[in-house]
Amino acid sequence: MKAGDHLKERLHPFQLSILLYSIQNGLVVYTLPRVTAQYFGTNGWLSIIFIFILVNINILLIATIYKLGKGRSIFEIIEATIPKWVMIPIYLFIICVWIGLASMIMREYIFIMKIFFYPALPAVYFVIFFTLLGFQLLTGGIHHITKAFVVLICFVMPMLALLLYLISEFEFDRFTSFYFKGGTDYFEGSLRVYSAYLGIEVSMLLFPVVDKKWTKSLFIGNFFSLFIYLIVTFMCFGFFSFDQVLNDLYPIMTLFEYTEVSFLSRAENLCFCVFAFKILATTVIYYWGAQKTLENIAGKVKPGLWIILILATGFVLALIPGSVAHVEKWSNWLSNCAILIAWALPIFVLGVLFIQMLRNQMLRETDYAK
Amino acid sequence: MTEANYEKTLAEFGDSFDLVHRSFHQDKFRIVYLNSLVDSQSLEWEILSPLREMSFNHLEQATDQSLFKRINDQEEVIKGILDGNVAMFAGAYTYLINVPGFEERAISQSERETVINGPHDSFNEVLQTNVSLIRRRIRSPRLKMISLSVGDISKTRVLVIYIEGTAKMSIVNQLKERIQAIKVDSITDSNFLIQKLDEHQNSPFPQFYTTERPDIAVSKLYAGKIIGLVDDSPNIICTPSSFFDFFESPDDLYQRWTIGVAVKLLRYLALFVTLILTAFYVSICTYHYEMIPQSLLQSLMQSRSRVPFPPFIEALFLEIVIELLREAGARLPTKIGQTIGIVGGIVIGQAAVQAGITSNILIIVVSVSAIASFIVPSYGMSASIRLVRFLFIIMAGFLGNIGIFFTLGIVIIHLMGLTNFSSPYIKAISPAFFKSWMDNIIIKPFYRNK
Repeated sequence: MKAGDHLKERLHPFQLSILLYSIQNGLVVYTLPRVTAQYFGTNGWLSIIFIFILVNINILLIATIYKLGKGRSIFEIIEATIPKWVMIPIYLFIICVWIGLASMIMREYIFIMKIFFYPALPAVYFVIFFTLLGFQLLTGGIHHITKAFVVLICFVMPMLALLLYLISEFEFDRFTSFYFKGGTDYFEGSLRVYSAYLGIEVSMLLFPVVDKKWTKSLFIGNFFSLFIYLIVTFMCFGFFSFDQVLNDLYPIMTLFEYTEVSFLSRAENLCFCVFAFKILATTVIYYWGAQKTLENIAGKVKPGLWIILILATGFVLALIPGSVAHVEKWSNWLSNCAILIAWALPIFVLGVLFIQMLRNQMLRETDYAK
Repeated sequence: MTEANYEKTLAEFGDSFDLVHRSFHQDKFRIVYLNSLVDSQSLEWEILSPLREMSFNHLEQATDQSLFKRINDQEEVIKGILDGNVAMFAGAYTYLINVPGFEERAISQSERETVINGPHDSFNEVLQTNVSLIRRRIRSPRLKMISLSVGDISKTRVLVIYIEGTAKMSIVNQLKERIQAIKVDSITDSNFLIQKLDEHQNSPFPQFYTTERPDIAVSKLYAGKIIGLVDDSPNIICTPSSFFDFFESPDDLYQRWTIGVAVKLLRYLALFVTLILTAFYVSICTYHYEMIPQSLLQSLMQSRSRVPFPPFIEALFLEIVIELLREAGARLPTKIGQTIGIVGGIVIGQAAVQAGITSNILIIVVSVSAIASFIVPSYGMSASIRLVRFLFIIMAGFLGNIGIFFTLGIVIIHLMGLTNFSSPYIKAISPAFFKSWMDNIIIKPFYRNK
């Protein structure tokens, strides 16, 4: 291997599956049982599966772009038909949404952490460390990010084993025999549940660095998320009564409070702290997506400058919200925008691709006629 | 190029204490050498006796042997004499006669890398002896060596050794180029050389695996790696190295593979214990008392009730004392070292608790993490881990559990970015995932080895 060869190395589908799982907005899982119960009613956990199918359709769109575009980056595809200056406002909108969402996810995590464990510590310390880790990862590039998260996620996964300690309290009776009764707003609920799968749309920018058969990683990574969300929410519905789930702000946090092993009790702290890696993954991948889009807008600027600019913006944004409610409001709004991007961008790129294909076919037919 | 000349050679060395110059047969043959660097017996047999008896009747024929090397360049003559050669000036010709001999340490057991099973010999400071230890284990002409020299003044010899057809030639050439590019006055040990070769010179982690055991060196060669020998150093360097190499001991291979795997896993556990245990104590006692089960909480509180310092200061104090003891033990002669052990045992054992400076539980925690740090077979890696541990403790004191995980993140992200000769430092997660885990972290059953 020559110097720098590892930079050209394609990402392995296994690594990608883990990366794609880790970048999905995991923070939602802490509120997921309540959200599903509130919006979908009894046995609301089933909604996670329905939304999963929707996300798979979204992923299918991305995979189709990759197949039809023959591995070209989405910027290349778009800019082959539409001039760059027309696209700049859309690019800027995407960048703003992604940076904003990343900061809000980070800040929401910090707020929850502060409320539960560090009421006296200023939030800025946590933001500094998130930014520092983000800087370390972004300067290393996507290969570095992927490899680091493959290892970091290994620390998050074992926390699932703690659920085994709760099995003795689990009862199927608590699920009730009613389905989706007492729900409020299915559409709003779907958006909230969908936001748990967000993050995967940034994979649209991974085209130039991935293996040919990478698309299966998208589905595997997404299935991983489904599995985790489902198992945790299912456990919650069987551990607490429906009313408890409905009235608890962070049911998963309460769930882990009940764990007790011989040398450790109340593992919710440990679980939530390890979860920082998952939050970091989501934050960093959105920052990375913003960086790549910015690089496409102005390719001549050094990537280091963009990284500093993005991180500085993220840092400042993260310090603005004053309460959890405030940050949740922003987070919901931005995640709705991100869902819009996740659907509209692939459909738009597919449209561009079809136009290109039609034009090519017409050209071929004209050539043939000559 | 300056023509080699007897007078110039003498002038160059001046009045060196060990310089010897003699002439034979009315100055027909003149020799110059440094008696501290030549073997007196070989000198007598190969040079002095034939010269005295004038048995060099056919000079051309005699100097045709591999022992003699005809040289014209004055600089080469000087270098040759400094390498333990005898320079012979015979008329217009100058010869270097290779009869080196100097004092060397006998081949002994390695003190740093001890094993219970397996061979016990180790490298010493003489390049030739070290090469012979490798040669006699690999009886193949495919074993190739490239001789290089480093240091403007020291001209230390460095050998790059590899097995042709097994090692990647691109890395061999890269290593050769990098060694040749080193610009220093002198190097005194291979550990100095590797710091010059490191791709990430500010990282606390050692990036080149070093060993003083020939059996490890040979196993690395068979594995397609390249080793470097430095004259005057018992440590050989090995590249490309990965993080997991530092957690291997030859004993793993000399035992039943199941036991080898268990011991190796124990070392990884030790790595985490070293890094996190004291930090976790600090974090729990500072921020997260709720994490301690009720049964343990009482004894912990009792133990901490007399301590006037915050857990962070308490832990830092004890960790620094342990480091002082370790450093003192490493530098002192063995006989005095024992005293340090006793004094340290009393001070950090009973006395510190009775005086109310630390708690009993912290002493257990710190001792366990110190013991765990010594389980790592590589001294260099063990030292790095101990240093990084302080970062964990500081962050745990500052931010509690999340501080520990932030530090873990920083360390892992840093490790994932390291490379050794463009190959990733942490290979286990490189593409062929499961196979790499088997190879790097866990030992394969021997019946599956080729």
